[in-house]
Amino acid sequence: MTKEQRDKQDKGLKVQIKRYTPFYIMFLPVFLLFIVISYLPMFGVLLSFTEYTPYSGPNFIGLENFKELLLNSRFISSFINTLKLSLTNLILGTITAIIIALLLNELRQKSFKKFVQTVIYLPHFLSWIVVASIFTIILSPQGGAINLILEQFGFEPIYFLADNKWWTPVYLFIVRWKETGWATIIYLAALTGISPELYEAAMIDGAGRLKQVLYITLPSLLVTILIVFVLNLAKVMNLFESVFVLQNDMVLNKAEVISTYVFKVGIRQADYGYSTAVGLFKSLVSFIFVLAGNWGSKKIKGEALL
Amino acid sequence: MKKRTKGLMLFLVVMSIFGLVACGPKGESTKDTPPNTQQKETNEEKENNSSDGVEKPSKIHIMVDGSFMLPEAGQDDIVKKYKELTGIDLEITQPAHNQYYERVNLVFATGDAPDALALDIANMYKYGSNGALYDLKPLYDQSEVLRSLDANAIEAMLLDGKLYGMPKGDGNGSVTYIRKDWLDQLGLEVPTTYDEFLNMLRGFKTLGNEIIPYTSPGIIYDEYPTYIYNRFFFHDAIPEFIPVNGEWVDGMLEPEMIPALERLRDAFTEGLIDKEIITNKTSTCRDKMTSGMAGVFNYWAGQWGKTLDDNLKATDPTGEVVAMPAIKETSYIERVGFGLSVTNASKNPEGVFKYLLEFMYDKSEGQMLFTHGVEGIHYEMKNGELFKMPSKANATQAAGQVFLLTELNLNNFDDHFKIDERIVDSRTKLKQSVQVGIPVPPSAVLDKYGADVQILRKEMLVDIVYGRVSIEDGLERYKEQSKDKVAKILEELNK
Amino acid sequence: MKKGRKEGIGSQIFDMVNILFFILILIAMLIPILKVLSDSLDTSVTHGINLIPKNFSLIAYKTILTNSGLYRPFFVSIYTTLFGTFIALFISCITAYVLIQKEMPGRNFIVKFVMFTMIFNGGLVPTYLVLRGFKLLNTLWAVILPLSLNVYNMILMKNFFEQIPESLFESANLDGCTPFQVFIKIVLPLSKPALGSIGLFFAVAFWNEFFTYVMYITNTSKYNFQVKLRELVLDSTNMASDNVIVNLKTMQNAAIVVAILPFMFVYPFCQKYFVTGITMGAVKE
Repeated sequence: MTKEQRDKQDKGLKVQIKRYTPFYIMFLPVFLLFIVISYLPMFGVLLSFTEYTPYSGPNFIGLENFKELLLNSRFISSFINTLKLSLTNLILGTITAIIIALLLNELRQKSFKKFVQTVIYLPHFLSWIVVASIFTIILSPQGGAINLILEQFGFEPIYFLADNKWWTPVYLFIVRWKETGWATIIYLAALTGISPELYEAAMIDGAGRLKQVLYITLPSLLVTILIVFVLNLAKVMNLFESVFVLQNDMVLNKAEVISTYVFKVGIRQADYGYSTAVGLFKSLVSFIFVLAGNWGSKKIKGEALL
Repeated sequence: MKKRTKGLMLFLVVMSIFGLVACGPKGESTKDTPPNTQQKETNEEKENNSSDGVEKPSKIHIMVDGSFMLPEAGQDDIVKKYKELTGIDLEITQPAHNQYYERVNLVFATGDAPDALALDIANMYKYGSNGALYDLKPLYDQSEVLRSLDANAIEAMLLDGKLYGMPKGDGNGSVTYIRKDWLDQLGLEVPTTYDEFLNMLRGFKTLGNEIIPYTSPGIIYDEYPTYIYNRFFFHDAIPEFIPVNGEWVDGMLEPEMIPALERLRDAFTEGLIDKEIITNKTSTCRDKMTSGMAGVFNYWAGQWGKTLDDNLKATDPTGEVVAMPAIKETSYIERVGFGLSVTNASKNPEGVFKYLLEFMYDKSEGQMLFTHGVEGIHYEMKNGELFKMPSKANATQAAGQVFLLTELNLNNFDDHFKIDERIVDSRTKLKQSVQVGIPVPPSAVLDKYGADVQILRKEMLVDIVYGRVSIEDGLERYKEQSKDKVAKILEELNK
Repeated sequence: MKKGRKEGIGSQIFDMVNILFFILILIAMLIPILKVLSDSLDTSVTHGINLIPKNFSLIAYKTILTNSGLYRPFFVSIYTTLFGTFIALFISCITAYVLIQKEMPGRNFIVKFVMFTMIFNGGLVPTYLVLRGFKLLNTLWAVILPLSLNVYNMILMKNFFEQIPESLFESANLDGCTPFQVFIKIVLPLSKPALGSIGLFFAVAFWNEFFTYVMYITNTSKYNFQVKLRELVLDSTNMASDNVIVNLKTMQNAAIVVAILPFMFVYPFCQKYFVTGITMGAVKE
């Protein structure tokens, strides 16, 4: 690049910056807020190299915490569980939400459709602690609705929430119960955005309902699906409350995830240094997920997520 | 564009330094100052102060859990009255009850510790042994007022001769509550032996398909004393670290554990014990008891003796819950109770001791204030007897207690309040046969591995009780898995 | 758009099956919720599925209405939800508006700057220290601000904004509107569906928030209904409130019902936006 060209570019940049000054000003408060609320506390990651409890520290101990973490079997199993539960959840969640959204879209009775929508969004308004207490009652091996039905058919009652075999599927089901309806919102919004002309054209070509879905609806949804999927990928490691309220000591080898582990060690046992190390590890893994998602998005959509 | 980015990064770093400067020293100063210097300071200040040499604090900041009177019930009235009586501003921090200790950890870690706070014995030991709490022993030894408290309760709180808190009241323990009306219906007497107890459970089982003869929140409990429940099955076995002849051992591996496990397993297999024993919370069990589903439940003596019965009667007027004495094979477990500790962050620990702790136990207006509240707002006197007034939070209920409990009173203070008979009864039954659960002394090793060992214990207990594994195999597995951790803990305990 | 379709037999069968399918879904969704409702009105013992109260009583609701410890948190909830949602929407819209300026120098930095916070966070203790440093502890800001900086919702908002046809911006620029005027006059009015749906996302998050309250606020009178609900549902051997005469289960269920009630009222207004949707999406494609 010659000096001249560079000068020209700089000049262009100056003009651009001037043109966008109002935007910078607008963003400034948000920027500051991010600095204060999100970035300043981030210097706390330094705690991961220290020993820090309510009564001692922080004392620098180098990589001790990370060493301990990689040797700790509870941490390793919680890491694997997080990936297993969260990824299954993500895939199941995406598929069910799309299917329900598509089927909802095919409902022709407007009032019925509206009613269904209202009802399936309802569970989302319940907090997790409430959902957990409802399902503990329904799934109870003594007088719980599900087990009463099972007994009618001559089965032995099953202790769903404390059984290693059953916990994972039951957990996944409960999460679907609560969140599927809500997750359809984004897809339904995107569906209404599809131009009616496309369908009309397809109908003139003689495409049936199934074909319309396959060739028009799904491709139009693809971008939304992708964005939502990648965004959720960034949250994979954050799995917390749903697991926390449904787990118990009997199923910990299936149900302990990283965030619940951090909560127990970091907040209950107040081993702040070690738990920060675990948290940092968690963030790094999330980071890899986001990069992977962004890469995938570039491949498919031709542009990065943002 | 690069330049701009750099500028922003620089800004970020500057901001962060500002942030650390703003928060850092504040936290450090309280934490790093050794307690001695603070004591010295107060000693110097002493000279230009009141007759007995203790400076009166202008403000005391305390942190309490949900067992202190809630704001909606008239906490402000207590603060106002306290100011009136002592001239001191009382600042009360009361975090959510369930997150109390998480919050306690946080305030100590960030240097925000109050002057005094309520702590259970495990946390009191933990913070005391780590130098965060003020040793009250010298002050206690000189205090006329506090030496009138039950010496045993003080004794039980000592850790290596140091006293890190004054007991809030008797530690209390858990008794076995039973459905008296069902017992009568079956024509049975209150059981006195394990066989009679089993017989009663079998009888309860015949009363209906949905009836759970015996319910409990877990086989062992998460908090000290972990073995407070299910004593009628454990008998003399203690599933926790215990001192035997002066040496700490893992009670789980003692010989008496094997028959205890047999009893638990057999009773469970027979359908006498709640199938949901693992996922039950204490509130679930209470619900089962008070909704008429369960026949037997171990729970705190005292207030609950009344509450359980009242709540059952609300759903079933003919029902009756009573406490029973321990069967002859075992005794109830009493815990070393809560205490009010003074922190080393306090600028004037002597002042807090004198104007808060001694005041609270003065057998007069101070104790009255911290037991029943303010006359005319929380209680009224009629013919020399104390009556509760309607609660400020809910006029259909009587005002509750403030912080101290009449029935757990440690200095025989006569507050002219007639306690409900059921409360007295459950306390009497507890005291008939009781032993104190010995807290496991704190250590960094215990902090680190204790929770893991506890989980292994629970896994083993459940697998054995549910019949998934034989007693021998289960114990063997536990021994194998917990070996290293238990060894480290025991080594520390026996040092 | 569906009127003109040819009605094959297969299509009709599909409609029937589809309706049946949703009836089943409705049952699965409604039974647990109806059970809660029924149990909140019932003081008798209930086993199994029982959707009609045996021993009808409104006492639990009366208790909530008369106990200041229960209704005050409810108002705190309403206040933070309304105010917090407003703040959060404002922040999200501004950020999204800045992010759609594709040519703006430094945009890529802002994207990374924002995304980074989605993944990395300081954890409890550092956040506590910073909030304390800025005197935000024990104020409702400690709840509102952290929850408002939701990158996920910012990105959703940005995607909605991107669907506004560029021609509108261009003509506005020609008319001499400042960017802020464009924001107020064009972007916001066209984004009502986004504001409605993302606003509801935020409202739910604020309403159900619990952790930041108990960690950053110690003043019990600033706790929201969720904290109280949790206390009711999860145990607490809280002796101070031990003389509740109504049986606890009825109370718990009534509290749950009260906790979802506001959404039952607000929801129909927001639903309009979900259904009308974002029709301008197609213009750009």
